[in-house]
Amino acid sequence: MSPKKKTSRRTRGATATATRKRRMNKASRKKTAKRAARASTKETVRSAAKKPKGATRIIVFACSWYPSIAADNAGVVGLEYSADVRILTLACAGRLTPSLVLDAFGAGAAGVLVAACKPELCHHVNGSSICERTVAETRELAELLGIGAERVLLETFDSEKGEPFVESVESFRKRVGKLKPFVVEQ
Amino acid sequence: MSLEREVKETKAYNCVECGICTASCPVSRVNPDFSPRLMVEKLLLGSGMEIFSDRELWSCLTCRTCSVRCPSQVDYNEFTRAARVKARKAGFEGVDTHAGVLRSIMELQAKGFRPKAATWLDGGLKTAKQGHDFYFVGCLPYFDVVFTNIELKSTSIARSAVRLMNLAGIRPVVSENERCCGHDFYWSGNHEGFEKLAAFNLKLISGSKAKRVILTCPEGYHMFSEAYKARFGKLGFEVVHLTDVLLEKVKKGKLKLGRPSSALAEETLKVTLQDACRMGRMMGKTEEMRELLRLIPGVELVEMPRNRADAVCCGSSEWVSCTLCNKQIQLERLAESRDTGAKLLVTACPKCRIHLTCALYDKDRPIKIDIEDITSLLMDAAENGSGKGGKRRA
Ligand code: SF4
Ligand code: SF4
Repeated sequence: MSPKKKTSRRTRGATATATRKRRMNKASRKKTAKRAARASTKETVRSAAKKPKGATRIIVFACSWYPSIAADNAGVVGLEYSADVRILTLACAGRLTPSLVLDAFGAGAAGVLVAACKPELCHHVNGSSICERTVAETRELAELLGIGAERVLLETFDSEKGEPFVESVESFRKRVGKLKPFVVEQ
Repeated sequence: MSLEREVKETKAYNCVECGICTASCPVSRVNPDFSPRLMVEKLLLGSGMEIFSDRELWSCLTCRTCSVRCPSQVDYNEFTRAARVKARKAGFEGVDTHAGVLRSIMELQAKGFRPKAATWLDGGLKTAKQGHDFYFVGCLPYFDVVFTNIELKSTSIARSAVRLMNLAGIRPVVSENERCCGHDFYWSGNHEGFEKLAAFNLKLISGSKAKRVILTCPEGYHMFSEAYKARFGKLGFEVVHLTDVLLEKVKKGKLKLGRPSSALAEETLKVTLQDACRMGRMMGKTEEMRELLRLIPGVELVEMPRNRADAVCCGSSEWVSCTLCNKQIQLERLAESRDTGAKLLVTACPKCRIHLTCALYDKDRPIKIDIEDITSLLMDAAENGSGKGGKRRA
């Protein structure tokens, strides 16, 4: 390249940059794709599923109606269940996605119990039946991923009493505790 | 974070602001907010944060049309990939499609969860534990579960592939512990995830003593052929697409193709081919499939106006960002395929099939055309060509 050409190229570059800058200011609209509200649910799942060594961490996704109220009542009447169980409340069981369940396993959970209301009692018309399909799908995926379908369970509730809730959580935890651990390679 | 390296590597400084990229881009056609040229300009100004925080960074389909057409050899496609890696580090990411389930699956696999995913194999298929040929299935078993909502089964492709190989005298290794090839992590900026998945797969393949890996998925084919080689150097095995293997076998007379059952009722079955971006523009493979299709008796191949390296992307990629805009791209492509007069749209990529089927799934379907994977069509033809057809199961 001749020296003359070089200079002209540089000048051209400078003006081009100026035009670019001007255009850019006009065009710059703030559009952020920062992790949205959805991410906060994910973070909650991650921190809840973290476990001390050797513990059988059970995550319970509980609908905010019957199951959650039942869990509260269990506390009120002083029913005991394992401290390895973590309850995460969903506004409705219909909010559950396979991704939430799988992420719980990714973060260290040994089992995931989904606690929904009985379909006919669902406060959001069809939330519970949507949840049923979601859980069925998730169980299939868990099988393919080597986790095992038996580590994902759906239980439905029709009462606000604490006993049935504690019973299903405890029996699920014991069953999961007896399973052969799934393989996580390094 | 600075983007100087990206400017150098993608030769963005060469940009002459011609706008060919934006004019060629399928996304820009329907979404005026998206412009590769504007992105290149921003890149040259060094406004990194502005690029990272731009929602449109995740709208690119990474279809490589722009890079192929750019007169100044700016590799915008590669820039998107590199910028996404940095954007992710800065805390930005795209919106997952399907409520993130496919991302979760890939994440678990990258974490080391060992899949047991060969549930699609049936007794009639001959496979091996070790051997010369390894059939890399990819994510098909998971698609079966995730896409029940559009009533689409993808493992039929895998079964057809193994059956075809068997008919051609190949007994491939199929492993239930195979993981995702890492394509979607690679293109959506999760480089660590990609490397982990790739390392797991390479270990698995080397354990099988395979000297050749056969794929039916163009994305996996491209990953193994380019990204794996770029990251891990020589692989120690050959990477081929199933259509290459079959074409050779058909030419040598080792595999006979007959009229596929869908062509029995008619004079000729008109088909048109959707080129996959990874196959056509990225690997430069457009003719092998066409040759194979022409070798099937009773099948006539008609081309869409935009074909081969000019083919339009199926409209969605990496399980990130699926909006009305993507749907529009798909519907336009479907209309283009219908206008050829073809009865069957043949896809060469399982994801093209999923995306286009999804766009067709609306209850008041405006477009009617059947969609089938090339592997399934070939299997159909081979069953009827081997003389032993009829009795065998599809
Ligand atoms: S096609 Fe190439 S030279 Fe033209 S505007 Fe796009 S990046 Fe710049
Ligand atoms: S890679 Fe495809 S979608 Fe992305 S900017 Fe280029 S042409 Fe548009």
